[in-house]
Amino acid sequence: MKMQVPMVFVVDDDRSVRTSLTNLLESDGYTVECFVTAADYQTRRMHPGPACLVLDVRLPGLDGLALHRQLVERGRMEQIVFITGYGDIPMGVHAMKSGAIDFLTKPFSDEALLEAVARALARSAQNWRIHDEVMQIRSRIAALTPREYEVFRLVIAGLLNKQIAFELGAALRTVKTHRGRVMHKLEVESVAELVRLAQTVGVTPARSGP
Amino acid sequence: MVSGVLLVVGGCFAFDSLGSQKPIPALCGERRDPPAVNAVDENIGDAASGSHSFRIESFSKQLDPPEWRTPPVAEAWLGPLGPWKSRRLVILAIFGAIVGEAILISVLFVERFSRQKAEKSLRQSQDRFRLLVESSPNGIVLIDGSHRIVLVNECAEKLFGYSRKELIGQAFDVLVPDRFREHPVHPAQFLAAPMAPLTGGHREIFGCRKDGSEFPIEIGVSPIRTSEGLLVLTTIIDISARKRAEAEARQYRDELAHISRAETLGEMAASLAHELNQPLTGIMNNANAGRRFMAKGGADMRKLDSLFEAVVADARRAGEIIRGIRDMVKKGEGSLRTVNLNNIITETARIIHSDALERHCVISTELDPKIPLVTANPIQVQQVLLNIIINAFDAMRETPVTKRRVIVRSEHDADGQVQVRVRDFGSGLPAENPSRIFEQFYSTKRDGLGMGLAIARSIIAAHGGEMQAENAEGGGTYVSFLLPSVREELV
Repeated sequence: MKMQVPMVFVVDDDRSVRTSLTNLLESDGYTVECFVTAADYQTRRMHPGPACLVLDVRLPGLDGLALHRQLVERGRMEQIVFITGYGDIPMGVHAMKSGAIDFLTKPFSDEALLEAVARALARSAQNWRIHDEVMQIRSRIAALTPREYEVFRLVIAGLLNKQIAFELGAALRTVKTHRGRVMHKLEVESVAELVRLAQTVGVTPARSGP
Repeated sequence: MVSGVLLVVGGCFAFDSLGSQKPIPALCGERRDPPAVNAVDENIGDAASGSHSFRIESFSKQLDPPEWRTPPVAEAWLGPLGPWKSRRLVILAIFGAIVGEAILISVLFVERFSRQKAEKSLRQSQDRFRLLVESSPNGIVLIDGSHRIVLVNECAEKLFGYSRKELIGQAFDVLVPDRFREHPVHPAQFLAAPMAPLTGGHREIFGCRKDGSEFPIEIGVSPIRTSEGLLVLTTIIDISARKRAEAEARQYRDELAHISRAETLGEMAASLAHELNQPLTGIMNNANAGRRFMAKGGADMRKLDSLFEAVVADARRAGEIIRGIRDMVKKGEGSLRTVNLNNIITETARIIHSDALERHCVISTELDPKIPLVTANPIQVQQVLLNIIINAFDAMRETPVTKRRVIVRSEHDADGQVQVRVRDFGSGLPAENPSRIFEQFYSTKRDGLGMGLAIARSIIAAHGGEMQAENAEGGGTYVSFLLPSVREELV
């Protein structure tokens, strides 16, 4: 999975923009795939590697901003570089806030585009790495028994062993054993690491009892 | 006059007939013999005194049969019956001549009177005719079979600056510039091939004044058959004022159209900039790609060639967009040309493409490939189309995005007219008075001037076509215009 080639996708309804972008990106060594409409792009399976989407804001049917929103909602990994014939500032701000890499006004310089594409691919690769890490941690967490998972959530809530024992109505020694197994299974050395890991995958600390 | 001569002749004859007779004392006083008069006077005097009364009575009884009895007056005039008896035939002949003469004279008088009356009415009708011709507000020129002018009226003199004397006998050609010699309305052509009355614009040519200046005229020709042969009556109307008014109206309309175009362009400025940015982006990307390929070394020549080709194509496209904008901004002019409306529709759809995207509208065309050509000002027709389409976009603001469609359709009918129909799926026309949309200053838009469709309609009318709008079944509007085809105009 780590060795997937980066891909650049172009969605623009204007043929000369599409082909010229393909030429420019190919001149910098990228693999490029073009689409005329947002709907065309939606039908494509997600590229399982770093990906950048060069997206025209105005498209027939579903426009670029709407497509971006949908991709974000679905947690897609490709990063977006918007291009537009006439971008006004509010539109650009809106696009950037919703997580776009850049917002370029046509005609743009080759440096600006290639730099933005490079940045997008880097972020996409980063996201893939995070994604991979999360998947790894999740699989480790999945290895915990329900009891161990409970202990895990109480530990990251900052409770002492005694308190955990009280919460769970278990012997102190038992809690210590569970805790040791959690640290081992999740491959962490300290409570601080454990907290960071929990944050990475979004495991919330257990609420201490009433 | 003839009757006068006859009268004189008759009188002479009467006189001669009298002269050839022996003078009648009682009637021809100047030739009366004094003794005879005396004798008559004496006889009358005797009769009055009564001494000769018996003698007269017995004398008449002796000589006259009863049927020849002298009337008492004649008896009184002629006195004793001597002269009556001896000159009876002569006297009767004279009487006959006098009566005949009187009858002849009265007949001649009656005849003369009726001739005078006829002459008078002829003169009157001639006067009337002259008055009619002279007072006509139109120039009238009568031409004979050899194209010579035989009659002109005062108005024609004034129009052309010639005097009547100068024109009579001249060829009609002096009144029109050379280039109209072959024109069907020229009387010479008309004489060569008389045809059905010409109508409309075909009758409008130019006249040529004495000083050589030209002026627009409308000319009517009609043949008149007379005893002198076929004449052509030519009526000439100076249409300078009408032409001037038409030119003014045209200029006014063109100026309004220009303002409206500028307004439309203003609305479209952003999308036109976008439209222009597309090829510029293409040029820039391709040129940069080429430089990068070359910088890497060992660039594929075929690849480079395709890049250059793309650059050229995009530059051309940018040029066309700019030309289109320039044409629309250009003032007034833009001549009539023979055009295919399909091309104008395609071009307009291209210009409006970015605007359509911006408003989430899809524009599609359904073109009849067999539509006849029309004579039109392409810029103005494009303006009309743009106006209709932008209105359609505006009307679909409340329409769900997926249903915002504009369909532009061209078709032709059996009469050779070309129809362009624009369908939208918007809010439709105002229910109470749909044709209000063509009124000036009527707008349903917040920032609309309300001039667009009014100007569009006047443009179409100036092209000899018509424009209308109606609600479509299933929501939305049909706005259409008809233009006459070239073919029809030639017929």
